[in-house]
Amino acid sequence: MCAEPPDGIEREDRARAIRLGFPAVSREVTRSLRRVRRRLAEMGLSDAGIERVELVLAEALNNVVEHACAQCQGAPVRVDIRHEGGHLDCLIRDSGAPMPGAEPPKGHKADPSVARDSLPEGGFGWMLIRSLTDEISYRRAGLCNHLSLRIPLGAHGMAAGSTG
Amino acid sequence: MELERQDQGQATVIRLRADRLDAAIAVRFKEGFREAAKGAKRRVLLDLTGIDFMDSSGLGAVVAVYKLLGSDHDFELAGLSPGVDRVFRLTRMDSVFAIHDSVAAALGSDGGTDVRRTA
Repeated sequence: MCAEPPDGIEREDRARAIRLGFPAVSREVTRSLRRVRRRLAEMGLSDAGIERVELVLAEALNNVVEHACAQCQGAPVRVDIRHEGGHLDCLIRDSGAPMPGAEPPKGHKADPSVARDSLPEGGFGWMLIRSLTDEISYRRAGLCNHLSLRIPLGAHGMAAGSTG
Repeated sequence: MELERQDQGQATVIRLRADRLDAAIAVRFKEGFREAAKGAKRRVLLDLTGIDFMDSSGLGAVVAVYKLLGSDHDFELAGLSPGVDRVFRLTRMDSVFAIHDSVAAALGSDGGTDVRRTA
């Protein structure tokens, strides 16, 4: 399997790594993101850095729940986050359906000038992921999806006084 | 998640009481808003004060409630945290809505009746 059974956060290399496993349902995504937020603060990320990481992970994990695991609700999802220098590497693994076309969607900029009734209510996710990451790779390994995301933290990614 | 409604003069203020507007509550938010906005004044202000985090599902829900209000109402936003504001800007949806720093700023310091401003 792509992911061991849900076991919460393993307390290994706490200074640089966050590892979590949870079932693919929305409320567990929310719960896991709350944990990630707390742990990133302990790692010394600034509020802006934490917001960026939380948003990228939320979009990617919502896609796992709503698309990959639409037919396998509650399947185990595994997230590994590692803080390296000026960026965060995230690996998301799930045993859901493969991405259509075997590659991550491009993500389109919405046109805000259309009439009220035509405004989009979705489809923002990959656009957000692409604008907040600088490397994205996806591969299908057996029955598993592996999505790797590199999130740059930039000049304001670390809290003042933190050594990173 | 709770929605609180208060009518002030010609405006209806609907406050979302939660710390996040995300995929886990987006549907409940839409349903709750639909109820809360029944018989609303012409101007409807969604107060997001206290929301620390919004994802694209939350944004989609805000767009959805704007659409369901229909053209009889003006729909405006107030109290966006920096992170929430960023989602509106990155998706360019900030150009769709009038966005105010706070409800007080939107309504005027006297909590006034018909002060109007567009972003």
